[in-house]
Amino acid sequence: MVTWIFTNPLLAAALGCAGMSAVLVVWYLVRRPPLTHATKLVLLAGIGGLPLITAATGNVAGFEATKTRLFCGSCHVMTPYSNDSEDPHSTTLAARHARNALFGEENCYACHANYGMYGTIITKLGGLRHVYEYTLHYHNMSLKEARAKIHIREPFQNSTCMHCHSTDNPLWNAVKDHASLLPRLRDGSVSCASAGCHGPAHPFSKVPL
Amino acid sequence: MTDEVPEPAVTPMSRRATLGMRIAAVLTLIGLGLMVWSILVPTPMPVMLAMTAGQAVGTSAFGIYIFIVVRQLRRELRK
Repeated sequence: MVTWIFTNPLLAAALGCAGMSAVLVVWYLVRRPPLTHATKLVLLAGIGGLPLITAATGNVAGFEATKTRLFCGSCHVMTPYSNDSEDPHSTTLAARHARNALFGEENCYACHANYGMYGTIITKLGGLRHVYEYTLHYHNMSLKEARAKIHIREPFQNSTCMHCHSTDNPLWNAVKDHASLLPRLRDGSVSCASAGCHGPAHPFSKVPL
Repeated sequence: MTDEVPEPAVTPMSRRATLGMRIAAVLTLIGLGLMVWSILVPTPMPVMLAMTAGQAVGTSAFGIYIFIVVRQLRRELRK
């Protein structure tokens, strides 16, 4: 565990500052020195400066952590999805994308994030909704029950696919089905992930129980 | 002859400041604990707690510190 923390400078900075801050604050609580100017300066670092650096670096690290597959898969109802992404032999759309280095450990976020100016904020708000739903409705549900109930809230947007697969690319347009469906793919009336095209990204979730 | 520094007088005001500072110190430790937890275990609950409760507790601690220091500075300036 220590290795992965210290390979990330942000996490190392956050933990280092938290440690130094804790030492100063505990010193103040145990030794109980009078509130002189020197003590106040020490506490300025212990209560102000160092925790602020911890919070800033910790927040960035936290936001980055929310993009990882490990984070998404930490709710038990998502484990079949994350396990499939990690399976090197799986041929699902999600797994094939996860094997692409550009997606890698962040393949859930790369496909389910909203793009555009406020994309990150909208995605994070959607994530809060997921936590709310999980805590209140899915936390004690079996995987079988959850699989029957879980569904994507809004239809998967083609624009998410087009973020990487440009419809202006000649190679993309060389595929006859792409070229013939171009206007309908752009306006979203035909989904890239529909049956007969690329199919659903998580096909096992569509099989009736 | 000794060069002993006289102990500062303990007034009700300074006692309150000391108590406030101790509360700020304890709040800081709680906030730090939540933040470190979210770093070591980056799963939804710790991360959300650190970004909400952790931030609120840490900010309150710093607020108490600023309040005490500013009040003491103003009193010293008045003297």
